[in-house]
Amino acid sequence: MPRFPFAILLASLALVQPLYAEEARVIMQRVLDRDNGFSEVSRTKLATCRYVKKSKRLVCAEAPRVKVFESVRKDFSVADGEDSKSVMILRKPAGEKGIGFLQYDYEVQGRDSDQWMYLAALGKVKRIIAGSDDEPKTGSFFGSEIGYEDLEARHLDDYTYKLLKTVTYRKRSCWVLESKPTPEHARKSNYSRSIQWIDQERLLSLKILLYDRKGQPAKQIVSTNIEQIGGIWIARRTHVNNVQTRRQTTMALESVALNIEVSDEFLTQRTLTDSAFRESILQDLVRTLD
Amino acid sequence: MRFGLIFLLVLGYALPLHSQQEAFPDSFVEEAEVAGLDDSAATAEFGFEELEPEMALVAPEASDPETTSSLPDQRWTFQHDATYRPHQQRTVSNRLSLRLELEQLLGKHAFLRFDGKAAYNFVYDRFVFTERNYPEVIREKYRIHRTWREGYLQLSFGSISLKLGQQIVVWGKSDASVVTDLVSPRDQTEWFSTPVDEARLGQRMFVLDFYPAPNQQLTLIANPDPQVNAYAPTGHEYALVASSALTILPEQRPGFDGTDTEYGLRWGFTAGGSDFSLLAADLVDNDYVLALEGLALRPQYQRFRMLGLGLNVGSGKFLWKGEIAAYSGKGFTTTADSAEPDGIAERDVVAAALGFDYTSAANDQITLEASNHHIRDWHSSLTNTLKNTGNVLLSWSRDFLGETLTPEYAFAWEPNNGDSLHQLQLSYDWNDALTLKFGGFTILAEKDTTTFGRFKPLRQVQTQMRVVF
Repeated sequence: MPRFPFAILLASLALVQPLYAEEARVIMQRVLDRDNGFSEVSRTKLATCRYVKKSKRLVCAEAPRVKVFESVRKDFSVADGEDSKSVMILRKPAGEKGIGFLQYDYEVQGRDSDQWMYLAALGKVKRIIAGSDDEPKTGSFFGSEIGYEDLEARHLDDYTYKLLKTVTYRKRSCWVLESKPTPEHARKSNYSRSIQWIDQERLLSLKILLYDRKGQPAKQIVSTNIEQIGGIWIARRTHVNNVQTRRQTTMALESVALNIEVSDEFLTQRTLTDSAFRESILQDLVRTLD
Repeated sequence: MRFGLIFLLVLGYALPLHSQQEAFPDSFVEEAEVAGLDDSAATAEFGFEELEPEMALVAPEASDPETTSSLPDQRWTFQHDATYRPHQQRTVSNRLSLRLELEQLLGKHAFLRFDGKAAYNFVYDRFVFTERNYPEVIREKYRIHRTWREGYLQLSFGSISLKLGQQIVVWGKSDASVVTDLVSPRDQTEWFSTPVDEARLGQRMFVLDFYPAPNQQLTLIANPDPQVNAYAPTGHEYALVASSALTILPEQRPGFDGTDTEYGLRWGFTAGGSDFSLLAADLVDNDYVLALEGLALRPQYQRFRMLGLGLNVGSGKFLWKGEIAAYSGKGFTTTADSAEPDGIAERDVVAAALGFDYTSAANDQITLEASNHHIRDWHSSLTNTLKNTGNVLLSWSRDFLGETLTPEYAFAWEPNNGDSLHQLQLSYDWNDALTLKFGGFTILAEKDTTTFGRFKPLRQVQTQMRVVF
């Protein structure tokens, strides 16, 4: 008699596990498909410092390194998905003011992004290497604790998913989802596992825990100041705590506008080198910011 | 004394940003958000500790930039450079400089830019190094030195942009070799001490850019006031030893009368993961040749024509870059017994450079470039000139400590004679305003008459402090 209930329980679990995985995958699909606007204009402040812990608070142990940049992104629907072009111009610190980046991202897997950088000191546009897809990208975004991999758009099929539980976090009902890279993608990833708290209604990740390739805690990413702009939910603050280096970065969207008309011509190399053209259009776009 | 006070004031502004232990007060912390972040139990379950982030990191500051300001956008760079030659036990440069860059958008279609620099080199101050007997002309020219790098008006309408005024034009894909980057001359007064981006000299030009398509750019250049490379004259700390038995007359420089106007055309386009450029130009040589005038020699600058091609190809972790150019009518100094009546021979030259940039998994930035200049119909009467002049450059750099500490090493090698140059530099961003650099170079060469061999006496160590605000 006792075996039957046990067998039934085991069978139930065997059925439930794939269902949980399937549900987790569906959730992640919804998160990746979330509307983030066909264009974005923003001014962002990025600050990084080494920290010490004082009474459960992370306190900067040095003067933070601060960068301020303006960026414009536009998505382009193509047959194979959605490509994206973006321009970023540094405004601060003074020594890096005017440095510009142009990036073209492609939906087609296997096609590397195109990136160009313009340094007024160099006087020319320089193509920069985005890196190989066969190895983990180890670089960081402007020396911050946000890695290039942290900024990349995820592909659903690169991971397996598991729904761990449902909780209330910061007064929001959230799924707690675990993602692990597939064996193929694991070769290219800095992380062996991530756990996300996903707002069930807004489909935003409110918190992400990242584990390095050895399975050790690596980074904690918390998104706050969630606001709705033009019907789209965004996080205006993202805080990254690298528990291994004991450095923290906060990225704040100081101003942002979504779904603004942006000319295709602005997302070309001309924007990097033609100051009159760039500043004139940027001035108009910046006026749309909140 | 005055400059010492200014130096201390600027350092006093830049340093305290580093010494604070707690950068910001608690007042900016958003308590509502903090309360909501308390998820200690759940986070601990997964091996992390729930900690309150430093929210004041991104507190608004009064100095935050505004792109809609009506005032010119300005940047000041205060810099001190010191250079020392250990083998001579001699300080060869001790310079304070101030650079101002101004930019202003005028309406929707015009843009103004100014970039100027003034420097005071204490080495040429008669009251500082009193024992040194520099020629008076050297003291006067190099004690206080002013540079007007750029000052132009840009007009941009539709697909066309026009720049009028003093400006710097950079051509080519190579970062080290000079193959097509021949429009803007360079200040070579202090040779390897001056980075390329600071060495380029502005010229009063008309530059028209036309953008016929999103991936194309056509550039036309007219330069009625061509400038030439600057070198250290005799008596300067960086002067190379002169070796001519003949009298050297004052040089004949290109004039601003229209007869020496330079012209250039560049067509650049991007296709897939590659960038291409085709270039054609009618230029005044940035370097002089020595023309025979009786029993004397006069430096003068010859015209020549160039046709070139450049390309960048990105492939995985490699960025391949190459250039090739043909020069027609390039002038060369000949020996006294040559058949040339004025001692100048014209030859065609083929120059090429090929190399790559590579980024390793550990973020090492490596550049390798090889270049060669081949003189067609070369003859032994061409003075100090080889049929093939090749160069190999290898450089490495890597960022540490959140991209604040950057060591760099550069190695240049001449296959013709095995001579090499080694340059090492360490750069540290003390904070967002202050950067410190320490470095130097040395040369390994058997003979003193080769290209690198002539620079052996100039090997040095140097320091730099730069404050940008």
